[in-house]
Amino acid sequence: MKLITANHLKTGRVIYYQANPAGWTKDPEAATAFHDEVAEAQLDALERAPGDALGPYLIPLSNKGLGGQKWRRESLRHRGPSAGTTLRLHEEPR
Amino acid sequence: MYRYRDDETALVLERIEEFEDQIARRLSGELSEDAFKPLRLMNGLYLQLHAYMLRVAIPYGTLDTAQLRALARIAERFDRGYGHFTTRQNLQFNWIALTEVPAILRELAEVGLHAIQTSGNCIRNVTADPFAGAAADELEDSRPWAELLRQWSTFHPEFSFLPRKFKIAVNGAREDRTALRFHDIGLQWVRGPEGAGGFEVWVGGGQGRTPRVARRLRAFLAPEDLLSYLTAR
Repeated sequence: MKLITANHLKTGRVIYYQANPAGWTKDPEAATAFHDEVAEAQLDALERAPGDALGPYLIPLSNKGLGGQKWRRESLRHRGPSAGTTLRLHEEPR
Repeated sequence: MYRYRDDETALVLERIEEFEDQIARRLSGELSEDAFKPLRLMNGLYLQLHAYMLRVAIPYGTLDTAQLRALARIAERFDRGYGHFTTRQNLQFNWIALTEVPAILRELAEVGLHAIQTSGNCIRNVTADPFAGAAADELEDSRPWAELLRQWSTFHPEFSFLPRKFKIAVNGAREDRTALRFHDIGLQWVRGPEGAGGFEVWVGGGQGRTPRVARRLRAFLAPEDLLSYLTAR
């Protein structure tokens, strides 16, 4: 199973693709997990018509979902920086 | 510190208008990301892991109070209330929206700042001793030399599309506070054999994935030969 992720064109923020309703969300829990072949086809379609998504790509899901060493990069993308005064994910900027 | 002439201010404002148009065309879909990426990089705008990042040039690390206040205002209005000063004396805003970049650049221009040549394969912001002008061990104020190099390298057609980014540091003090030997070109003020001042030239230093310490290329370079020598190197 795979998720599709990208960055938002206007804000640069991390987004995930959901199939129903079709569109992008900031919440990975709301993202749709696709079977591998369907994911490839969906990604292909999104690359041809990216809309507000920048550089969509697939992220494979492990049994444990997000997190762990394999997921270090995606975990950082999801949670945001851990440094000092940086606001957490649930805190909207500005 | 250097003040822009009217024609230089006009040039910066023209550049903002140009980039604003490029952003509008990107948002409308007229420009693809592949076409837009080199344009935004020429204006100091990166797309990083979490958001866009705008890197503001602070020539040789010198700011006046109006500029510092403008940076603080931008951080409050357009970012999360703070920015990051970099080791090469720039300031980075890490949570910038693409749509707000033109407004930010206009605020910067009002106080003589911009983000031109803070990314891309060009000659980057020239750095100098942060204590220049006030250091007890200073032999020569490095800031006028850094300003000369800034003017020489800005929009220089031969150096706008280099194979890789290119960094220069100038040090006029006995102690090196510029990491001189980790720059592509490091200029150390020295006294020549006849007592006149000039530059010891170090080349080839760098950090990143293949860090290396610069090697001394020339023991003494007369100041009047500086620009022609750097152009030739």
